[in-house]
Amino acid sequence: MTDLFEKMASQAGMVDTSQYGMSGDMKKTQYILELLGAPIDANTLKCLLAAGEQGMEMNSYNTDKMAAEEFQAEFKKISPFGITPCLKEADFMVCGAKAILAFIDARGLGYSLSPLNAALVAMQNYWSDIAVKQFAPVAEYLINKKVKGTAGNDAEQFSMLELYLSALNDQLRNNKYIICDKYTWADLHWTTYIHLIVVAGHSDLIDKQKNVVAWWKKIKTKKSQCGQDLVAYELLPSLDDIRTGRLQSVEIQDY
Amino acid sequence: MGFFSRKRSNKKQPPKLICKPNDINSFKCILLAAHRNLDLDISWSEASALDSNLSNSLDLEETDSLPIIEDRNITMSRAEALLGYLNIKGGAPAVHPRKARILAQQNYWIELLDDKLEPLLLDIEGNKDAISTILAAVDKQLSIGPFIVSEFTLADIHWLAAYLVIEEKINDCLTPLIHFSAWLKHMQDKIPNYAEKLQPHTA
Repeated sequence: MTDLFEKMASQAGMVDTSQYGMSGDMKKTQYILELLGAPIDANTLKCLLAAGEQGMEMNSYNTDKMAAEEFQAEFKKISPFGITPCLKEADFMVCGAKAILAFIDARGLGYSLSPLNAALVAMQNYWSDIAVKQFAPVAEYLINKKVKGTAGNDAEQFSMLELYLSALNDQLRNNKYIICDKYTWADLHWTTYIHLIVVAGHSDLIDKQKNVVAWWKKIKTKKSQCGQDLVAYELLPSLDDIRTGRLQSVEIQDY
Repeated sequence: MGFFSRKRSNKKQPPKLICKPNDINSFKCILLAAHRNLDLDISWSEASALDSNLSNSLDLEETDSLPIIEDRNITMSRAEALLGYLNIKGGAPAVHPRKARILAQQNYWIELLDDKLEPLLLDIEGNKDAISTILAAVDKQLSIGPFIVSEFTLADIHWLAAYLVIEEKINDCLTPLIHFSAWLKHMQDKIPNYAEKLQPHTA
């Protein structure tokens, strides 16, 4: 049976089944993952970052490029409740950022992004939750407005944005990264939303927060933590990529 | 003091868990702690009595902060933070599948509950069909094995918490579910007397 991943691979010109690692063959120590997502979707971007950080090869397909009706019918077979993005590894499929991030973290070549200490885990989850539940709607509003022209109350959104960035700035006062001196899930979540805000043309709001600026510089140049010669941040789409529907795949060269 | 803060203290007391009655997130914390045999001083409140500077600064409602844990020098809020803490604290093994695929499936079912079912519960009457569809999917999943995924995971704890909160309110939706009762028996093995711990605080 041809599933949606195969259709998307075909559309993207990535159907070379002889490619090592496709269709259940192993590439070095891993399968090649396949991701269905969209460049404007923060959850898709989190998966790209995680794959980069953990050194997991991943072919990415932009679902926006598939005709809506055809996509919906096929997509429902993979994700009956519309949870996105979706990941395939050989004969295994799963949907949702929570599932995919945990999967990549467990499968990947690097150490887990989650700390071992209970208090640090709690703090990581706290700041991740603030990002996902409180900060995300603001970032999504701004990028949707920039790309799709969605209307809304700018003043309210900017005021919220300043509140959260100020809180993040305080949190970063004594740490290299958000929780401690190690990169954790909290950094990954905040990276995607701040990237979307910057891409939407509002980097001036970030520039007001000294500690956030210092953290952001580190994030943009940080080498993948699994030791590959890769900066995960560079996998994220530019405004032009988002507009043209270009989603980067993760390729690992230096095994 | 904010909702994630530290203060000095030398006293050794069990961590305090402040819960909200009839609240899915509070129930998740109690069930996980019970499964892991953690000694907690559990109390119930409708609103946090803590200073809420951070909560105010982030424009959160005070009741959003519950459940809360106070453990010696640490105070923390938000269920995700508490569950992470409770799953590591103490000597019992964490509920954490070793296999990546099981871990992913566990999180899929948790996301289905958190992002798809819970918003529908704000208007149970109006969303009866959608709630029923999701519960039917869980029931179908439970027909495969004793737990939601292939071993006891956090997905079971999350769904048990939700089930105990909504059971009374959605009787119509629960009627055709045939695999839940067997699953509840398995839950009793994993979390002995869970109903007694929560019953006075369910609607």
